[in-house]
Amino acid sequence: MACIKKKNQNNITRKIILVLLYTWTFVPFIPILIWSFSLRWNYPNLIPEFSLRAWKYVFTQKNIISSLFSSILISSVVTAISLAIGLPAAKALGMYKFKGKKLISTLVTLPAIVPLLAVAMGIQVVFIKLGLSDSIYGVVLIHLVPVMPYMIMNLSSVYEAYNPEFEQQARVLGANAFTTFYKITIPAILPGIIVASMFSFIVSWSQYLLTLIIGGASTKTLPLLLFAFLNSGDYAIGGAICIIFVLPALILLFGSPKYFAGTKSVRGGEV
Amino acid sequence: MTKLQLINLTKHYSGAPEPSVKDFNLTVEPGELVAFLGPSGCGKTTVLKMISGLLLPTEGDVLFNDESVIEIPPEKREVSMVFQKPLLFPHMNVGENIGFGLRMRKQKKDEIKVKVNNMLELVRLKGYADRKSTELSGGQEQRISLARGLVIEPRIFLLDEPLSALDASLRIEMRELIRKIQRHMKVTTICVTHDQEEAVMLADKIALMFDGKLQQYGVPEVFYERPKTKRIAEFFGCTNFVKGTQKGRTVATKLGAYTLDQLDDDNREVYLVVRPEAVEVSDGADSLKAKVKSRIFMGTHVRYIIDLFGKEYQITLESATLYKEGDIISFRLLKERLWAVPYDDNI
Ligand SMILES: Nc1ncnc2c1ncn2[C@@H]1O[C@H](COP(=O)(O)OP(=O)(O)O)[C@@H](O)[C@H]1O
Ligand SMILES: [Mg+2]
Repeated sequence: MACIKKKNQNNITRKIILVLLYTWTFVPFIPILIWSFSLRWNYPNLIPEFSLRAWKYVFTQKNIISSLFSSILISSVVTAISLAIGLPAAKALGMYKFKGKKLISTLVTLPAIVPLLAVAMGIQVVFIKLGLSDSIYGVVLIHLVPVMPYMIMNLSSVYEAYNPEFEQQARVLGANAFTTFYKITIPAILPGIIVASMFSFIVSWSQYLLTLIIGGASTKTLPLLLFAFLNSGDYAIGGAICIIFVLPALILLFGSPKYFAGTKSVRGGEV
Repeated sequence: MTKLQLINLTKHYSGAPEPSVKDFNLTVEPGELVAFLGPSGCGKTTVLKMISGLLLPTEGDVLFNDESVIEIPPEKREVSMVFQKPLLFPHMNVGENIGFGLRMRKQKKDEIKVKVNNMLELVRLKGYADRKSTELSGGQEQRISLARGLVIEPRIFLLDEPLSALDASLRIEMRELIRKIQRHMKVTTICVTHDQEEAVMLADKIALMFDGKLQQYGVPEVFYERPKTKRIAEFFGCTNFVKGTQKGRTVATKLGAYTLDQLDDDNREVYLVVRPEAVEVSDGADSLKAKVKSRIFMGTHVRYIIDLFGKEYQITLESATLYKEGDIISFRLLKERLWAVPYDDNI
């Protein structure tokens, strides 16, 4: 009984925190949203003149559409690559004990702490020599620098909690090694993989400086375009792009709580 | 029903200085429930994993009804195992968890449903099939795990300390449930535990292990009445060992000479094993007189720590007459309940 009561209290606290978090996140977007649907918003009008000009513009302008697609492409590729590298690396860090594990963990998280500008300047010189500068490949590579730490940190905590006895349990119940992997292992760690991937996607999605330095003029991602419009003073279009820009983050915010179901389940029970 | 035989089973983990299980020989009769008892780290889990096929023995063989199963992978061996943690698959509900093994065997959906519901009833969780497996109490989780292991009607059922994570009252309830279901399904079962009382209450026979070796195998009573060594007697709660010499069937000690019909003829140095309850109050010629140092009240009985010829012993008497600290108790040893084990000055 006491246990159930505590659980309820936890649930209520969690809900309150979530509501506060959502409010905190959304309030700043209200003016931006209004901007994006306005023709102009002059003093002393409290409500601007309604117009779909900005949105029509955003969805018809070739350069905006294409930058949206290159942003989606780059972030997806970066996420896929970081997942491919991150899965085995995180498994090693999360599940096994070995010499130098602490050192490696620290090295892995380093790019998340060191100022990226310094890294980018140094790498740019190398990239120019390799012909990777001013190309989408270079941008993908440089995005991996800030993305990898998030990917590996997120995934290794999933593996730390994951109990390999699940696989043995499935085997004795009649599942062969292959079935066990795709019916037990993958689904058990999938929520963690999804959360880690969403984080990585957003970290890549929001890169401005790195894309600017390495991509040069050739690769126009959404944040680059956003800055351009904000500089030009067209707040309506800037607002519309801004809304599109924050969309993935909002999806993460709403989508992830159900994946944070707690680690008890992947541990296999309390002991 | 399946007879299980372990023959010279040995496991030497790579990198380990010594084998974790050495020359383990054991026969479990069809439908029997055997408890593997021993301190943590003695190799109990390792033996279970070799029986289930999760681990390949370094040497030795595992036979089901006189046929070797060593080549059969775990998923085909028809052995099911319940672990210490319930290990309910988090992405499946209760019914899907229980039905997992049946789905692996490609059984029909409606048949699976019937079997799952029968199992749920057996573990007293009727109507739980659609519950989320992540929202159960510890005891419920372990009962689901039990149901999931049994629904496939395994040839051999293995339980690896399934109760050790539960609290005391739940543990007793679960122990009785396991016993009842095992009788009902008549499945050859091994249950691992490090708790001597649990083993005694649960099992037809106990296999006691120390340091990767089988020490003694038999019905629970023999571990109290006929332990093979001092260490075994100690594991089963005996604290009184009196050094002596055995000639024929007579053991001579400073507490007197006792001719014990239950012993085999031998000439050796021994410890006379005196269980605390193998005494009675007596004023006869052969009685011993000891001073009470302290006492522990245990309900119907009282445990006295006594001083006899300068050494401490423990005896248990009925609480009808109470002795105080400093009182003299006059008692005698019950000859038919005494036992002798080889003297070993290492211990
Ligand atoms: N994978 C392994 N590699 C090396 N040594 C192991 C491994 N698993 C268990 N051991 C060792 O084997 C011994 C027996 O372990 P185990 O069978 O788990 O004992 P129990 O179940 O009785 O507690 C222990 O000393 C343990 O450290
Ligand atoms: Mg164990």
